[in-house]
This record gives sequence, C-alpha cells and structure tokens, in this order.
Amino acid sequence: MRIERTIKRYGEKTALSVEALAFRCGEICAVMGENGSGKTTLARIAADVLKPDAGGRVLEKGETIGYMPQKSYAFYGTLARNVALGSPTGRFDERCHELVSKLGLSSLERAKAKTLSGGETARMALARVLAGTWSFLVLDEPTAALDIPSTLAAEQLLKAYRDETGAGMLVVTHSVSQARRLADRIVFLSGGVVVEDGPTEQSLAHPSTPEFAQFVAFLGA
Amino acid sequence: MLTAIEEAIALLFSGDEMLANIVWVTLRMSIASSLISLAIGLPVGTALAMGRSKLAAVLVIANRTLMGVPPVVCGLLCYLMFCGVGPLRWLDLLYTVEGMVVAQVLLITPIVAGNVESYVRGIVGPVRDTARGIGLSRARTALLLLGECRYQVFTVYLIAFGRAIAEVGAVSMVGGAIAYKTNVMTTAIMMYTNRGDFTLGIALGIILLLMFLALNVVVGIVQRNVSS
Repeated sequence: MRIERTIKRYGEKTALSVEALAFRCGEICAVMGENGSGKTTLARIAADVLKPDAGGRVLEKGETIGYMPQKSYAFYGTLARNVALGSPTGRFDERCHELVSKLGLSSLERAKAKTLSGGETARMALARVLAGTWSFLVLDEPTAALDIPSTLAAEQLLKAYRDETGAGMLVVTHSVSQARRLADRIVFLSGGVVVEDGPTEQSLAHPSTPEFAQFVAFLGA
Repeated sequence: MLTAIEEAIALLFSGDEMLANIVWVTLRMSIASSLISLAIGLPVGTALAMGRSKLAAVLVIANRTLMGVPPVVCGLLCYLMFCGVGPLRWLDLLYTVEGMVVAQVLLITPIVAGNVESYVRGIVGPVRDTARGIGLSRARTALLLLGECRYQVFTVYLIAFGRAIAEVGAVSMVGGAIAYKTNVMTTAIMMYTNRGDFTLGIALGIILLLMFLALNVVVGIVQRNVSS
C-alpha cells in the first residue's frame, strides 16, 4: 500500500502533505506525532474513508484494508453480533470465539454492545476487525482506552495476526513504549508532514529531527 | 355545547352505521398511506443521508421543500391528474379511497424521508467508517444504519400516521367526501359542522383523539421493547 503525493486541507490549514509513503506486508508501522499532526488524517486516507484533496492511497491488485477508527462504534445487539459482523462467514465462529477470549471478553459475549465500557468497546472493535482477513490493517489508537494488561494482550494479538496472515499494519499511537514493543518502523508526523521515517530502534536511539527528538525526550522515558 | 358532547358520547355507543363507515374508511386510508410512505421514505431518507455528492445535497433541499407542500396543492395536483381530462384518468382513482391514498403518500413520503434523513445523518459518519473498516457493503451499511435508528423509525411512523389521519385538504379534493365511500373523519367533521350538526362532529373528534392515543400507546410499548 502506498500513499502518494497526498494533500488534505481543512479550510486554510493543511492537515496532511505526504510526498510518498510505502507500507509493506508483514511490517508493523507506528504512526506517531503530537495532537493535530495529521496521524488520523493519514489513517483515514489509508483506510479510504476520507477523500484527500490531491493524491491518495494506491493498492496493489488484491490488497484489502481493514480499519478500526479512533472512536469505535458499537452496533445495536450483543458483543457477539458485533464481532460476527467482521467475520467473513458473518457468524460468531471459532475465530471470533478465540479473539474474544484472548481479549478477555468471553464473559461479555451476550452483553449488549451499547452498555459496554470504553475499554470493552475498544477491545470488541479490535476483535471485530481482526475477525476479517486483510492484507493491511489500519488501527487508529487501538489501545488508547485500554489498561496495561489489556494493552499488552492486544499487542500480542496484533503480532500474532501479523505472523499468521503476513498482514502489514499501520498503528496510530502516542505511546513511545508501545511503538518500541510493537512496531518495526516509526513514521513521525509534524504539522502534517513526515519528518521521521525509519526502523524503530534506530529512530528512537538516533532521532534524525529535533521534533522527534523532543517528542521522544518527553514521552519516551 | 354540553348537550352536544353528551349526545356525541351517546352516539359513540349507539353502533351508528354511518359513523362506523367513516371510521373504517379513515383507518383504511391512514394505515395504507402511512405504511406505504414509510416503506418508500425509509430507504429514500437513508440514501439521502448517506449521499456525499452535490446531487445528494440538491435532493435533500428538494425533499425539504416537498415537506412543506400545502395539502390542497397536492390535492389539486392529484385531482388534475385523475380527473376526466387528466393524463391518469384511465386509473379511475378520482373519488376513491385508493386515490386518496395516492395523494396522502405524495404528501407524507417527503416528511418520512426528511425525518429519517435527519436521524440517520447524526450517526452516518461513525457507522459508515466502522462498516467500511470491516468490509461491509453499502447495502449492509444502510441496513445497519436503519437498525441503529429503529427507535426513531417508530416515531417517524407516528408522525406519518398522525399526518394521514388528520389531513383534510388533499383527501377532500381527491375523495370528494362521498358518504359511505370516501368520507373520512376530518372531511366529515367539516361537513357536519358546516351543516350545524355538531354532535357527529364532536363524536368523530373524540374518536380521532382516542385512535391516536391508542396508536401512541401501542407504538410506545413496541418502541420500549425494541430498544431495551
């Protein structure tokens, strides 16, 4: 998947201006940046739910994209029904059971989705998108509402999904420690522009721009 | 006045044949037109809310304009279509209940579509993003949207039925208020009041209110069960 010569403006403000970004299958890429830096805009364009003013997402033939928005939506019905929506079979099959179990939601399968807490809804949304088979997953702050044990379980699940399916992932996160644990690569945005793009360990050890260095210094301890 | 009310209440329990016929015609017309309007207005309203093109924006404005069409204008239009020199005279709909239903559907459908559009628009963004993110089709997304608005769908039906049962302008022009054929409660109330026969008018008014109260109670119960 590539993002090419892409510009998105909101009024006078340029939210995103990307010359070229390529995402590879099997790679987990953490998209980082301060608030308003263009992370969600990039994710939404990558997921094709937002139309850019110029350029856009380019897919190779047969590539498919799964997407988990920043605000997970709980549909009417039970948690099981919600997760089944993401399954290619449309049923709450073995795969759905396994995902729900690994995310610690087994006891809530029959619970009404709209009554779930923020963290439970986020885990349900993650199970729902992972129930599908995708070439790439675009996840916008998938663990922002989760506590530490749930965050670690979710990260394990993402790695397992990547290993099993060979899917690439674009994970928007504010957490440097999460990027260190999860990502092979970091893309750092500032003012809608990519200012850092490199392997995780190398980027964190030797930031190539002052913006990213400052970000890591603040949040990366 | 009190005497008229007393006589009206007595009339309600008298089994008056004309009264029963007026209530029956009113129910047939109102239920048919409100259900047909709902069946058309639900998908149209959902499609209008989901549309992001300039054409969709134009259609939303057009529909909102149609929501304000005066019933007599709609009645006049239908009359001109169905009358002896009208292009649709071969349908033989003038002065029939079916013709009144057509006029009501033309009048109510934009109201149903407009209300559905406004409800769906409030949630279409997050629902569409989530549905697209898990690869659901547009048709499936539309069904999910309607599912999310099921509580409001009942409210919209109440609005449609209320409009159908209380309407007088269009149905009197297309139906002609013919006794034992097309006379409905609203046209009958007008007709008997003009004649100075307040008793039947008041009796019909009481029935009209009671029918709408009963429908409200039933829909309220269903709405609560569906939402819980």
